[in-house]
Amino acid sequence: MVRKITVVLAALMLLSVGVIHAQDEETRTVGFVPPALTSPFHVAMVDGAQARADELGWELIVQAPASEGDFQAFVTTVEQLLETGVEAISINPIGTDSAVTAVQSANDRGVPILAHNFITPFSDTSLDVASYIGYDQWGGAEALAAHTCELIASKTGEDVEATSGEVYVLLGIDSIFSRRRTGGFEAGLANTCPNVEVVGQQSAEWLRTRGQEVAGIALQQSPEIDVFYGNSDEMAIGAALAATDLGLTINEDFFAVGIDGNEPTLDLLEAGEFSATLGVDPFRMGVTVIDTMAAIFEGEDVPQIILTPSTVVTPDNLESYLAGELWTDPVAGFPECDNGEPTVPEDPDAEPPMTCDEEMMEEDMDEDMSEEDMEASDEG
Amino acid sequence: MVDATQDTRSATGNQSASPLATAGRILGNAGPYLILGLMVAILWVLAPPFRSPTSLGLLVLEAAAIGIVSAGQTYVIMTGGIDLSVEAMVSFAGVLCAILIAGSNVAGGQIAEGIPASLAVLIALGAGLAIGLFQGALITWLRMNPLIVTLGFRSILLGVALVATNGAGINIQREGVLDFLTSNIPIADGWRIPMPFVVALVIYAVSWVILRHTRFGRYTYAIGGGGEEASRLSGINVNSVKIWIYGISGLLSAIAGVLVMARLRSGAYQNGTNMTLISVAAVVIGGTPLTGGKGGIWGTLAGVFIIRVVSQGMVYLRVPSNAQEIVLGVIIVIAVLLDVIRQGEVPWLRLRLRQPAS
Repeated sequence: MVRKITVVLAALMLLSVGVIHAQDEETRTVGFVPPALTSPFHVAMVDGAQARADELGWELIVQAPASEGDFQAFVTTVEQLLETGVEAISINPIGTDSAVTAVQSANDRGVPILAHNFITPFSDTSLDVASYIGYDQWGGAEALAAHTCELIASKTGEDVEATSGEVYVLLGIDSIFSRRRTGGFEAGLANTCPNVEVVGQQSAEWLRTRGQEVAGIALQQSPEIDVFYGNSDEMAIGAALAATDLGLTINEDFFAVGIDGNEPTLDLLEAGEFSATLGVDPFRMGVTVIDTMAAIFEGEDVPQIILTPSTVVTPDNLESYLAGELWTDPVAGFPECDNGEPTVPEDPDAEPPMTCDEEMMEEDMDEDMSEEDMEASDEG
Repeated sequence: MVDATQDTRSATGNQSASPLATAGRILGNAGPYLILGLMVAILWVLAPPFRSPTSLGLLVLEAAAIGIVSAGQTYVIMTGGIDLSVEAMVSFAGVLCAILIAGSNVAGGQIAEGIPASLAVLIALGAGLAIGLFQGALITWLRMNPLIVTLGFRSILLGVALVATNGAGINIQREGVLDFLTSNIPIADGWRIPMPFVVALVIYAVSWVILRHTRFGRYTYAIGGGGEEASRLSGINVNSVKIWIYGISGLLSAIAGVLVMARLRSGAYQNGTNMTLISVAAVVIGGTPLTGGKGGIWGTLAGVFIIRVVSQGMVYLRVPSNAQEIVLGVIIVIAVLLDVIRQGEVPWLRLRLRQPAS
């Protein structure tokens, strides 16, 4: 009996492999691996990829580890999809170099591999990634900071360049993501409203509940905080709840801004309970991934880095954002390195290297750390 | 408030009259509250903003939900079991309640098209109790290991919460009972008691009565500490007690889940993050050993506050975020070390305490 089942199963498996290979050129089977499907951001990106794949008549296989931190399961998932015979695959590694074995595996099989929501090239330059697709976190945070300056100026009644105020930063768990988003925001404040001060920063672990907790305490230390900035919206929403519970009024006494532009945030934005978010339109980012795969199948040259747009979304332009009117075509871009420098160089003629040189990176990180240490001792 | 088992321990300890041993014993018995007092004192001196009424209000508010979860965990650990599903239950109950109120599982509902909040809360609590009882039934009637059963339900409940919400929190408006549950009772100029903490205190008081002054409570102590077979032989309906224990834990976690959801105005699968680990740590820091049989509910409350004060204190003292986990871990290990010394079950530690007497 058992043997019979095994035979049937084996036959079925052979059959399914046969089906995949028997498909004509136009019908493709491609894989998509988010770090996990535990946030609306990644769900929206999958929705976008699925919608485009349906239009093209492709089969899209989406698989993800159960939790974002499970790098080993991530690599296994990629390997499994490669095993099923996908013709191209796009991955969103968040443990960066922990995904190199998966990339190597795709390279060995000659399957084009792309990276989405991720534009930091792997340090191992022998790996061949067809394209990195994502938004510029530093630049986005910088734009959000510029808008934050305007918000503060509207409260104080001063000029944007001259206004002073206090900003509190809620950090995600320490990673290239939190560092880029914090660095870009601080640079944006320094460029647009240099008198605005960051009075404190603490990790809220990407969570709304921790954001609420940390912001409550922050307000005991610095009751004059004008803006809570979260590396993610959820943490800033938590901060807004904490401040509201302490009797402050959002968009009058204080502002809450963050990055992501997910549905729950847009909902609160519409209700006037949030100030601004950086919308990166994960749905259209997902569409871009499938479009890039199609270009690769056509034999076209695709840019090594494809930069998708990001927009500061406020109650005023929320409708246009939802309608996709603020989306601009993705452009060839620059790699995002963990170096405390803008992703897109300030000098428009500059030709940055297409990889993040490790030695340079370490030097810069050391500098950053000593600066932070100095700041910390100043505060103490 | 002092429990009987600790008194017997003290009696044996009295045989050695060494001052060091006596000091150790006193420190051991009142341990959790002494540590708590010391920490509050340190923070009081070092961090002026900590002294404000608002700040202390925040402290008790943050302690409320995890305190209620830890109360449930105390019952379970008292019988020598463990409930690893508590954080999942917090998330699950919050998500269930939010979806019922919003009348939709689409992220960002905002509009209340579902059922009244009070009914939704009752359903969520009922679900918590029922799922807890079911776990208890599996553990007793089918003799399944509590570690595995509750671990399994942790996955199931988190998974259901995740599937139901598609990864996004369900936004809700605070109305009716949720408004009440997030309100504050003003007591004096600037001093307010947050309602969730009042709920927690009521639960602790009721738990103390149950554990100390009812037959059910005596059985709970008797089953723990390796006394399950003896209890069975002496005619205690061990199965029934244990099933109810897991039911209570499920119910209390669901109550915490509703409180967290109301406070965050969002039913999200992340609402209970870390609560399992913290609740177990709070119980053990509070003096209830993992083998059960002794300890008490008020110790757990001290354990909860120790963890909360450390966690808040690190933000006040601007400890770099990445180092906070280390500090919390060290506190847990030290607290358990004190527990080991108090129980005198490690020969060489006991020897050291008694040496000056000889």
